Amino acid sequence: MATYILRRILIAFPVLLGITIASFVALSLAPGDPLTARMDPTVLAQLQRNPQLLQERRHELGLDQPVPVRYVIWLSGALQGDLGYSIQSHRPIAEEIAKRIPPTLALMSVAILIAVLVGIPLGILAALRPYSKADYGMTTVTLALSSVPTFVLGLAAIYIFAVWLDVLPSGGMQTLGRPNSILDFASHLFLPAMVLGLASAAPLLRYTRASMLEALNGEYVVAARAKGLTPNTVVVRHAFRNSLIPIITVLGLLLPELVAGAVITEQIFAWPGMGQLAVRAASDRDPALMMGVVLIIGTAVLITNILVDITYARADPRIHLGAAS
Amino acid sequence: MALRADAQPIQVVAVERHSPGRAALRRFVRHRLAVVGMVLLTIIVLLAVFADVVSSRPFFTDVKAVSQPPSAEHLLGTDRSGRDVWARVVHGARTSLVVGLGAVAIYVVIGTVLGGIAGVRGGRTDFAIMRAVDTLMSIPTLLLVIVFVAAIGPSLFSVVAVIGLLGWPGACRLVRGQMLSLRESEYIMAARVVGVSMPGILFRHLLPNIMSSLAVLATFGVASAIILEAGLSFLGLGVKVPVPSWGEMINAAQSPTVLIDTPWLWIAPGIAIALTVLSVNFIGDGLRDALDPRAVRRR
Repeated sequence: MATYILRRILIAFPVLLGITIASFVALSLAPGDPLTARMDPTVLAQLQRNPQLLQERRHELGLDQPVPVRYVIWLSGALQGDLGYSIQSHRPIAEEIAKRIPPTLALMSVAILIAVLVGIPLGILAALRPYSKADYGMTTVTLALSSVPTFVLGLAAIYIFAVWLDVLPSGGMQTLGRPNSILDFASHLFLPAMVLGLASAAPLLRYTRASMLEALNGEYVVAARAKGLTPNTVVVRHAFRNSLIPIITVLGLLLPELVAGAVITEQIFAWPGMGQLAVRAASDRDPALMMGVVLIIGTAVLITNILVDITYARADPRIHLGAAS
Repeated sequence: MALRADAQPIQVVAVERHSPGRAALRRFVRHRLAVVGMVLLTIIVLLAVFADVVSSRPFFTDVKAVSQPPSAEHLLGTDRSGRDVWARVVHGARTSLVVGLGAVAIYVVIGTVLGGIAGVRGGRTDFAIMRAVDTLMSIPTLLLVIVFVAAIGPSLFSVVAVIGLLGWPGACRLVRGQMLSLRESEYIMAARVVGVSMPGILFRHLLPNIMSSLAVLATFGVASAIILEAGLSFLGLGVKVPVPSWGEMINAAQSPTVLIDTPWLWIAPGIAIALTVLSVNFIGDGLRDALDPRAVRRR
């Protein structure tokens, strides 16, 4: 187990390196000069009369180096926790990112919780009565739900709950001028987490249903029933236990989607998290900030992938992670 | 039910013979939701093709009719620049369909070629391609697309190109898996023994077998590409402003005044996206049931 985790971590590094290299190369292909693009035109005009000065600035920032050298400079900085400065806000990127991690973590973990609590039980119910009206209805609703983009769902939620019914705040993380209270935070978190959670609950429900249907057809389920176990015990301890592996796989696969959903949800609900930062980095054409965001989200996704693999072994004792594949 | 030896001839006649294609078509037509999706999508495609006939001037700004609610003159009202919303919704369908079909066409080709190479060559080539697939799959597509769009600048072309160039891992994994299992199958072995050349085997035996799974994957791919484009345009990172796009139209609703006072501005394109994606998903569902003979029949 320990060796397996160690090996997975070792494999994760080249992957992370690959992601950052690809992003770095792509961002350095961007047209425009990162040095002059953000400069006051009058200052720029002055500098252009004095190319020597411009060249010095360029050299100072390492911008006269070829792309591979610049990547190594960026990487060695990143390893020491120095991600550079944002072009737009002129603040250290590491600081900007650190501020935005807790809100995103809160949003995503509550959303996952909602997805699991809604998707898995309903999926089991659908599998227990396959091709019934309830099952048919749920299939249609989940298909419809996964066809509506997150931002339309979010806007509709704001329109209904914040404008029409006026029971929940439309965005942000807390009410201005009010002392920090957990209730206030929860009321702000409710809508975005609900939108994000329900969007992921839909595919989870469908996979749970399929996986449970297969498990319920197993001979061990027949045996358990014949033995006289209560229906609940059969479903929960025998069928569900065995359908857990595909469900965990799907949860792992849903994670990247959840991150993508968070980017858009944060934008709609003005939730001050990483996703919002990613969008800002893109619309400001801020390559250094973008690299920071890519590094952090990439690391987070890789760590969760490893966690998913470890969960496999916990859920199914037949899986031995130590064995060479 | 066993066939009795003295069965009446008429019963034997009733057993029609179906080519696999005909049988699949029958299963598809019986799938009610798939037919609904097909009808809806046909209407949407027709509206997109004849956008100039059923509506007028999506770019025309009428300063005297700004933010008008739906009326006889403007079916879905006008936006803040006095542009007709109906015209923009219909022309937006073109953008969505072009992105959906274009991007998926690109990545299905890339995925098939790379997956085919990985499956046939095996060894190091396979290892390298599959690690690239793992890497791309573990990172949120939207984030990657944002990075690349930020690099090359937002436009219709770059959205199609970026989704097309980054979306291939799913198709690649599918084709490789099929190749690996088909390679060992007996009829491929037979073809080899008879002396069919490698490209011959590839095009006559392997690809036709993969086509149906690939068609299902591509259909669902079109749906997610349309959602991705809408999301990008919504974030202001997709199709550039004069080009009508549903996501870009909804982008305006981020301002509370638009959201509250002129709901037709975002509800109309919102419904348009949902209907388009839903119909494509229905078709994908029907295709999956129709093309997979092993699939359990519904009802």
